[in-house]
Amino acid sequence: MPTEVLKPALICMLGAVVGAASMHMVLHSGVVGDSRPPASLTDVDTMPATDLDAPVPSNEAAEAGSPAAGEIDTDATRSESGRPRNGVDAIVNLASDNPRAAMNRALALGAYWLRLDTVERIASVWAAQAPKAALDFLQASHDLDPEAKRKVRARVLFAWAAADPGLALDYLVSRDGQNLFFLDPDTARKFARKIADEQPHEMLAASNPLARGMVRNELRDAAIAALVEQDLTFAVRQAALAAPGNDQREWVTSIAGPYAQAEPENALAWATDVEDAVPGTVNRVARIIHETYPERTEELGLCDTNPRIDPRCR
Amino acid sequence: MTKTLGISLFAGLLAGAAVVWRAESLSPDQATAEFSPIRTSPSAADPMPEQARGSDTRAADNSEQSSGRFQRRVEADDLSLQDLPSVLREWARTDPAGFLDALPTLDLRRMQLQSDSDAPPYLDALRLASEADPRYALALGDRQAGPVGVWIRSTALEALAAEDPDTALQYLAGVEINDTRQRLLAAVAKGFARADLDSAVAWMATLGENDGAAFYPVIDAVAVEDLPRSIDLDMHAIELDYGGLDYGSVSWLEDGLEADRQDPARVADILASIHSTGLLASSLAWWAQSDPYGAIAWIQSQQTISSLAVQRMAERLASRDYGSAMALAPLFSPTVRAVWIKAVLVSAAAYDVEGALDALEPFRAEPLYRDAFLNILDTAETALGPAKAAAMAGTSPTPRIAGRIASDWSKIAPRDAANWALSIEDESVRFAALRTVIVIWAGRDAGAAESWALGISDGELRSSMLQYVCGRAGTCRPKF
Repeated sequence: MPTEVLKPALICMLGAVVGAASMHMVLHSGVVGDSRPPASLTDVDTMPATDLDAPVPSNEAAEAGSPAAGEIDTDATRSESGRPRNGVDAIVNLASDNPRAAMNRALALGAYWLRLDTVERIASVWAAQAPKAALDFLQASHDLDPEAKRKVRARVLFAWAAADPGLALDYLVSRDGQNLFFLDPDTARKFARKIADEQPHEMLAASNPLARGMVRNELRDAAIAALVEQDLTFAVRQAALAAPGNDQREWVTSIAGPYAQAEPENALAWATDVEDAVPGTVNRVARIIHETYPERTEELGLCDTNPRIDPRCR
Repeated sequence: MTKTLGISLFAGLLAGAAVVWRAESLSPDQATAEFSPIRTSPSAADPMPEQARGSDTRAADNSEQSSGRFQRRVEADDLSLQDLPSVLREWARTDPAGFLDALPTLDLRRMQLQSDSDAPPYLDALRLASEADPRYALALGDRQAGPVGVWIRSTALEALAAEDPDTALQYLAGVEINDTRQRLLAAVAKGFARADLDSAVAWMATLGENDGAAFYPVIDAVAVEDLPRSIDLDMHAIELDYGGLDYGSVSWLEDGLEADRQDPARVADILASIHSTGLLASSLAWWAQSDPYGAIAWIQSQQTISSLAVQRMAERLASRDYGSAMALAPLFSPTVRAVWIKAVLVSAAAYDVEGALDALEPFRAEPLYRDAFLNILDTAETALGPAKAAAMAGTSPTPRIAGRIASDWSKIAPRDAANWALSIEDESVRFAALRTVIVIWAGRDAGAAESWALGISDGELRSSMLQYVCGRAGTCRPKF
């Protein structure tokens, strides 16, 4: 293409860009009313992606897409379809190199839910590298309200449980980890369940030295539930070996349902054996067998255990 | 050539400015006109203006492609419910308008049914999308009936209130007073408090009898910044009779304490000075969690302390380690100590019945013993089984324990249960327990129940029980 044609075209394009930027600045300077459209997810497209030492942009700059923030390669922020890609991806991408810097930038975002979403995404990345550091950062941060902190903390913990259940378990039985059960019991319970799914034996062992209380109970519940699901035979054996009282009741109560569904005859015989130690087990097992195999009510002698279990028993 | 270049530059400047002007020059009136509830809701024949969607035609085409792609992922059979929220969030992040458009068409019922939470699994995604363009979301929510419409409107209003509270309030003024309005009002309050806390507090002071839902979102936000101020506001809410409603709970107090900017002793002093027993109990329970000796020292410094506060604190510590909690008992005065021991051991029974009963044994000679014992038994009845619980309760159970044992035992061994109930010393407790046993027994085996009842020596009691047997069995002779 001849230079005479290219030059005006290029200059025209340059003019368009400058014109657009100028008008943007005029509109946002307050000269022409305060009518900017609501913040959108593309507002932060121009956040610097690589300059980790650059000062954290202010909310206004980030939201307005200020010219100072226009250092990023705009091509990199466009998807294949040409639509501007989510600009916060650039911040999230920083997390693998410098999660703390990424987190600080995310916390400077103005839009509340976008900020929280971005913080959660960074937290997931950080959790895969150094989950304890991520938790400590969150704990010390005053830029998130307690509800948001709980949400992000849950994200870190669940990512940790998935990536390294062994270390996650160590954390859970530490003082900080135990505190979770009192500060955010719902998250702590889910965290424990996730770890238990991977390491039920280890969790059971880790619960033993703990003082009898909520934390020990929660860990045992999670471990026993996972063991019953993964290895019913082992669980039945453990129930027989458990100390009489709460520990044995815990095993028996957890085993009754799955055992009744999987092996009704054996479960009934087992329930009869443990009835003295854990009253009500026979009735519970019979009820579950009846729900699962109603056609076998008479064959298994369920009417003898409870005549009201089925109208046909009368 | 220079002239040509100059014209090109000028034309470019004009074109660029025009594009931005078009996108950003929507006046407040135009903007609000798009979602006013008074106005006829947008319909298919009245499509949303492009600027409200924040996208041009090309972007709309891309949005359709992207929405289709996400919709297929969301509806794929192999997508687990666990992964669903993150896919929805990615969608809302990538293409907020497309997500909002598609949301009502998704199989929301299936998602909700499979969710173990009250909040729908799309909520976080919806918040993101609504925040990207609250006006568009609000207009969409107005068109959408049912729960999903309310979720869209509430997330949109929260986001709108965070950026333009006046407009959000203007919208709210047109909403009919009903339960939905309460949810929308709470959403506006949440967004408003996020935008400008002082103005939100000032607004709260002007609210009337139908606006209770706005109080606790504002109080919660204040608590994180200034807990004593939020206590004042809570008192105001209680004066207006909103304190006991479902709009809020003491979670704001714990959030405020957790925000780590408050001195728990100062907070406790304030709560004690205004005699706010419930809040004081909650704050001490929270304090005891992180600093038990600090909280105990504060209690010891008080002339009087409510038993509820002592009890809540003891329960909290006992749920972690009741042995350590029991070791703290000698630090208290005799009256407080009795409340403390009872609360610790009743709480411990939930984790270790036998251990709690053993720990109570040294106090057998003390007045606290019997009350604590019966409370432990009440907690432990299910774990111990009714026969053991009855043996432990003896002949003087509380009405509550007697009722539970009678009900549970009569289903397993009605004759034993009836004999025990008949042995209860207190006449009214005996009558109630026996009635429970007889009614359940007669429902299963009326003949056996009648035969047993005929053996009751007390004629009046026998007659009453026989009446229950025939009433339950449907064999009573009509009275003329």
